[in-house]
Amino acid sequence: MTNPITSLIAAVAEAWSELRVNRGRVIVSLIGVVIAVAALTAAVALGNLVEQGQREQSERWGGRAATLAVSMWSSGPTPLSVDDATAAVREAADRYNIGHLSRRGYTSTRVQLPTGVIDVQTLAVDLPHATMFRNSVPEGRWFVEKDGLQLAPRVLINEVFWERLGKPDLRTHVTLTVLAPNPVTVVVVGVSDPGQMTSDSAMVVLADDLAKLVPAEYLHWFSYEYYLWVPPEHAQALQDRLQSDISGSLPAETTVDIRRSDYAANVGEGEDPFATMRTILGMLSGLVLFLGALGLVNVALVTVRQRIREIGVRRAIGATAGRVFFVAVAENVVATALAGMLGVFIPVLGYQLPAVRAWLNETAGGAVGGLFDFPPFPAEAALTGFIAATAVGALVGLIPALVATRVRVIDAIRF
Amino acid sequence: MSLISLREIGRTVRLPDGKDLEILRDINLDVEAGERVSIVGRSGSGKSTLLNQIGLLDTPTKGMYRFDGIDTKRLSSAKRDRLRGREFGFVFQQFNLLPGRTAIENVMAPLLYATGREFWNRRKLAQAALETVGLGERLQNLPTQLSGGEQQRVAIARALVRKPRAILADEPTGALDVETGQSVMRLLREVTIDTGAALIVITHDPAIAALADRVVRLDQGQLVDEAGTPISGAAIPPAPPAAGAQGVQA
Repeated sequence: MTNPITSLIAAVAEAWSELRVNRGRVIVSLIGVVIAVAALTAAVALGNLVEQGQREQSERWGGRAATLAVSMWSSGPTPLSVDDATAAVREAADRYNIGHLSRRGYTSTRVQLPTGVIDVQTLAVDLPHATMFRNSVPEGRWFVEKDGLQLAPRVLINEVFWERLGKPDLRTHVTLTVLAPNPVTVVVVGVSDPGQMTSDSAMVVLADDLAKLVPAEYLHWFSYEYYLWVPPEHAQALQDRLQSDISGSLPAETTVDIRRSDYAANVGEGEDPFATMRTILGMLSGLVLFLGALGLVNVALVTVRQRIREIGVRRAIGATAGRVFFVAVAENVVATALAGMLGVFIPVLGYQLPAVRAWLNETAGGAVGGLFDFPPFPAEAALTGFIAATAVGALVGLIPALVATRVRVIDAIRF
Repeated sequence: MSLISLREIGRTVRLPDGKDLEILRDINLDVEAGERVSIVGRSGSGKSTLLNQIGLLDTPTKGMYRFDGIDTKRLSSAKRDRLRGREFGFVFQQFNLLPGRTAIENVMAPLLYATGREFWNRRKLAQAALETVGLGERLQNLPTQLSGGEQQRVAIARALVRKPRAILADEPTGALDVETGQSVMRLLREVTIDTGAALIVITHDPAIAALADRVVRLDQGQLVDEAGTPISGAAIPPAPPAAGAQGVQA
């Protein structure tokens, strides 16, 4: 009677012994697998980073999930008061404990430069805007709470404007004079372009300071769009409530339009906005792995032919065909699993290196001035690489295993 | 009941030109437990094919082979493999040691296919087998570090380690010098006497054949007498097992 547990342990011991004895051959044959798994894992991780880059780019336009954009206008004879509109939105936001609220409005300011007066496109926002829209500030800083209390308004300028000013060191208290129409001194605290407005000079100001920087008549027809960052699972319910509450607190002739502006809003249930990119990356990774597997099949077939005599001897001393099959497959599975671990380890290690991270940040987030959140190495990438390697080992192991078991014992011994 | 009983065994192979070649024809042979039999004959007479039939390395195309009363034709492939591993020990002309494995690993190899105590005590059993053949000091040597005679001793230890009931040796001295060959045959004889295993040896050497209890002659796939006349199975009764007995029967 055979004891299945002893047989299994014996088979594993035999497979391990085979690996140990043939370690030179195994190492050589697995180089391709290590490279393929490393490539596969790196591709999945890179895909994740690119996805993060694309998501952040989308979020810089439309806000993070879920961002509600509120627009209001009056169909009556007089325009809707900006103050009334702001008060209505703030009141509603407070009611539902929505902490992230930012106005966004575009206008133009006149700035006095040594060479003359120029028109500067100006974006008025609130403090949370940077968080909600992942605004990066390559130089200087974003607004802080106390900026709103300063006598001289704080502003951020875009890269074009900064270059026009000669890229002054922002720590040297760089000031500009805005004609509103009386001269107002503003302090430049950072370089940023959250509105990605124009290729010309542009400026960002706190919405509460806007009245100091433009003539009063400019604000007569001025309106903001209001953005609220809410939990995605409550977005629909809040959208309905806000619609009702804000409309109720404004004159009857006011139209209130609330819509989701973030990228996820256009994605249906169960849809993946990055499915195409994932598919392409997956196909490329699969191809790389297939090539690695081909190399492994090649080496496995060559070596199984070299080992046929040995297999014949093992059959003669009592190995069943099933046992030879199992050992051949197990040997490949164990070896490729080890290769898979090494293949996964290489990109994981590389991901931690500062130089690699800088390059990845530039590659994935270059279009948006670097990633806001550099994601950790994706566990699913590591898992995918490891599982793929083991699966390849099992599949590839089948071929030499079948060859090994189909050969007649007596022919194998004489081989 | 004989340990090994062949009746009307035939083995035919198909040649590439489509013709059949009869390698063994109507072989009737009985071998008792503990008996020592030599198989002699010219090259191509079918000696190795007969030994392969006995050792379950090959299957006959005709006839019946019973091992210890078991009709081997009815066994599944896996059962034949297990029976072979448990009941037969093989000694080949070219030793056929597993390359890259030490002497003790080679001797332990058959025990990987055993179960229970045999498997768990495989190192101890292998060491004992190697000590039996006088290689207790060469346990960790690779085949390439051993002489031909030593390699054949390792092969004998490997054949013995599962205490088989029959040891089948295919020209075990063919790759050795005369003196070493005699020493190997003495060893084979001693260990089979000690263990009570039957020994079937293929040889061209009359001196080695003479060490057996009985000599079986093969010519063109048939058992023949000393004059070369084909004989039937009934004409070659098995010799009674007698430890140390020598003689030639045909």
